[in-house]
Amino acid sequence: MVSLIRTLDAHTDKVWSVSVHPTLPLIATASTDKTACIYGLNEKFPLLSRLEDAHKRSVRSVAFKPPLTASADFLDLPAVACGSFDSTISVWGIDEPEDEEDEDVDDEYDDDENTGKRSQSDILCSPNNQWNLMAIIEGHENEVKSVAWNSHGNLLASCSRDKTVWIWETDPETLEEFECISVLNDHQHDIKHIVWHPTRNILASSSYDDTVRIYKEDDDEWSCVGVLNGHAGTVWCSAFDPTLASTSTIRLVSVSDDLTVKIWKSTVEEEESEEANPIRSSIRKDVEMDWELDVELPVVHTHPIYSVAWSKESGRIATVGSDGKLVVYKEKEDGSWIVQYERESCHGVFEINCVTWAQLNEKEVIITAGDDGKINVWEV
Amino acid sequence: MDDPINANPTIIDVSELPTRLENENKKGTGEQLVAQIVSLSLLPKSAKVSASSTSSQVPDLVSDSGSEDDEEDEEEDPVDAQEIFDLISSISDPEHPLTLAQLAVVNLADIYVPDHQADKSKICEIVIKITPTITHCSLATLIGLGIRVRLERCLPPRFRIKILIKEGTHQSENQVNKQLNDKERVAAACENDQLLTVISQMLSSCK
Repeated sequence: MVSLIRTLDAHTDKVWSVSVHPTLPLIATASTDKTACIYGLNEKFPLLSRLEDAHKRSVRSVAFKPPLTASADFLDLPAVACGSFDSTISVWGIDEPEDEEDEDVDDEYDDDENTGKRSQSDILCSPNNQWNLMAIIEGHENEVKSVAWNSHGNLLASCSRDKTVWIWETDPETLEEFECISVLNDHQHDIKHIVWHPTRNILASSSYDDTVRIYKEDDDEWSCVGVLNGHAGTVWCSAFDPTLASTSTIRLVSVSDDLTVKIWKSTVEEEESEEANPIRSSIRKDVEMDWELDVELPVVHTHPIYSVAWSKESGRIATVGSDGKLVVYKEKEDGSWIVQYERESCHGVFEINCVTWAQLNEKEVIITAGDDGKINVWEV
Repeated sequence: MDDPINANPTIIDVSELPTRLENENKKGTGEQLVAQIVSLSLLPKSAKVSASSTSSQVPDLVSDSGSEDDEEDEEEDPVDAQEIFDLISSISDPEHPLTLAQLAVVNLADIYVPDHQADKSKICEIVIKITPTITHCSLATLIGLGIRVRLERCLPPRFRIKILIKEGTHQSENQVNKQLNDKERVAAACENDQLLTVISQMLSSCK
């Protein structure tokens, strides 16, 4: 069963994108109304902040920076990047919260067992935190269509109608400067979406030229190491298999105007070690990756598919698109995929632009963003 | 746009354009009068171009009746091809002082509306094939965009509008089709002020 558990009237115009923080209960939304919103991901879904006055045109995509893995004592502040049709990227974050033990929010005391001290998560997700504009990144010639952080949060990738992918390097603790370390211009057209592998520095871009391209770094040089040919229309979005994050197998699912959902497969050769190898620089390894079409999922959508999300928890795949349908696919033990759920009219008669998986009260939920300006939360 | 891309287009007289007027006798007297004038074809055929200012008013009255329907949208009539034609036929061509219907860029026979659309909660796809006046018309995308903007403004959101170049009438048919039906490209184009100004001019002959 797919059941609607909450609707947020987030925006006054199309919602293009929704992002869920990897560890904190936060969601971010981006809209044609030129703003992005930060909501708390709990039963109340409080609006924590509206990020406005930074963009002159639609905010097309939004992405939370992943938390730092190391330093447990360092207070890792949440941050988001927004990509806009005005060709710029904005980065937003919160100031280090004041110690607010005295003026606690009243509902903290209701039925919370550890009433004494607020958890770090509560402090970081408090509506008292002010979200500030930290940086505006310029460089693209025209509309930025997608932004994505790598797993360490030190690389931000962006793509645009100008046919390029830019990779920006930053200090993930301070986010003070964003230095462009690579411009990749392998696509022939408009690039719709980019996504990083959940643990590796491998990037996938989906394009109006009907292909997906894969990029990797080798000897400080970023380059295109694979092309996925097979779609017969614009590829709108792709997602890596997060359940295989720590293995040498890589799977990627892509969705397209051609109404198909395809899974592609490759393997990475584990490099012996990270340390500098003198032989490696003289004998340059072939960095190309071999990708093959693994499986095609049952066709359900009747109009272009705009977004796909692969669940880390259950391994399921969710897709949404112009036909207003939400489709959930499940993999069987023999490697084939079945349609587990199909729900029509998830945003009334409106199109759905984005889908993502999230955790709410330790239960898996799906969040969708529609042309009706709403965010819907689904139990599946 | 100094030199027109197609300097000598074929023009259809307004009186020969399809309308619904003859079978809607219950219209107000003003519109009846227009219907009579149109059916009597009083517009001199020799004055085709100079009559364009007058002619553009005729389809306007037709589309007027469509917007009256919009106001009472609880009892929304099913949309048919004639209604779509009425909404877009009076759009002005970007380079000629003529409407898209007069230039036969839009034709009633090339508008496809499904018969079954009773369920208002279901999406409904409308297909419109446009015929550029010449096969290398660089304005085809702009014309298609104008049609899309006009229909998105007038029709309820459950309609999905697909605009295609009529087969074999344009040398970059596939490219134009792809661009015209890319939601994101259209959305971005509609935030471009220069483009919006041109489209507003094209739509200024509509009501």
